[in-house]
Amino acid sequence: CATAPLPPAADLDPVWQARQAALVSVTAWQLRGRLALRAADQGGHATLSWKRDGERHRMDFTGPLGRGHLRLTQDSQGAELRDADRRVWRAADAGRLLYRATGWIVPLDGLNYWVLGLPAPGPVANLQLDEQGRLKRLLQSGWDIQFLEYTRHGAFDLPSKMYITRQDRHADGNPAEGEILEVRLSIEQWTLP
Amino acid sequence: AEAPRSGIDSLRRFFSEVNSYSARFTQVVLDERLSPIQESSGTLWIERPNKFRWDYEKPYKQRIVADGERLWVYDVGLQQVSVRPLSGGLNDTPAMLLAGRGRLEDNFTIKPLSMQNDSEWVQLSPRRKDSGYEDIRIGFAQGKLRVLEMVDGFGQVTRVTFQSSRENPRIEPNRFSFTPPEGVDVVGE
Repeated sequence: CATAPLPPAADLDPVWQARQAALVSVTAWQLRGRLALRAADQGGHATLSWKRDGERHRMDFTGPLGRGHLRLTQDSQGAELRDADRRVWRAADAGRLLYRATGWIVPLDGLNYWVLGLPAPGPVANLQLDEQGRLKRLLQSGWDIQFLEYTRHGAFDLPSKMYITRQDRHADGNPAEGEILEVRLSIEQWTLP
Repeated sequence: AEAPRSGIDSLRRFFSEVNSYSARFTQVVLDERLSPIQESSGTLWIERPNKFRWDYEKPYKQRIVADGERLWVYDVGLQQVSVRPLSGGLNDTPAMLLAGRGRLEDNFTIKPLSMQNDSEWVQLSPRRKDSGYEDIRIGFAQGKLRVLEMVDGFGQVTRVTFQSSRENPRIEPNRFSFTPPEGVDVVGE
């Protein structure tokens, strides 16, 4: 009897291939959304406005009722974080800078690609597609990224709801007791060139 | 006719005679070039001292409740609640200012501003330099609270305009209590 055809391995899926090729060329965009962060029983909310232009990034995090505004900028030279009381921190890497100043662990390097529905460059532990050939779930650099919702923007379907968690694991893959880190991202607005 | 009310008089009156308040609000966030980057709307309730509830309805649902001791933020779409103690001071958040009690002058330098689109304005600049915002401007029309503007250190303006407001309405006490819904993560901030 004919067995059901195996789902095409991701790297053979033509729709996914075409989608990746098209999205990879999009290096200038702006998104606006909301972020909820959690590490064990600590966390917070922020609205996020993220503007990317090639190597240059500007991320504005604002807390509820307009409080606690933080601006993180990054370019090829390095990263700078400013707060609403005009304090400034600088470092080479934006993610480490954000962590040092706020204690938030946000995988910025990965997010830069994941928000477009793309894996970041480098090894991918696991990748699942939905029926339309879009990323459904991705395991990369220790993070588990679930793409819960897409919305149409011009030529592209782009993620509008993502759930990103990191469970530190022992080498054998069993979860270590360390806290679970969680980032929930809802993207309401995309601006593409 | 009543003597024209200065912004300062309206501010005094709001803090001394208005002990509870409810209104619909629209909020717009303007970037440092004053171009709008986000609009939202909903309903708010205030009760002195230190109790308020901002229910954002559009474009997404968010509940911000100050129950007198703690500040709860519940993002319905993201299914997460954050909670932190209220420092109780007028400096906690500009929204807390409206629900605050005590002498404004202890926390702010207050200056009347010129009339602007038929509202009398006052400017409150926080005395503490780490309050997270540059200053607050409040606009009153015919003595009634009309606009609250919060300007942060980047020049970003959060402007809240109040409509169909009611002064000293009776508000159900449970309006200012918050119980996290079943199955929603609660995190300390």
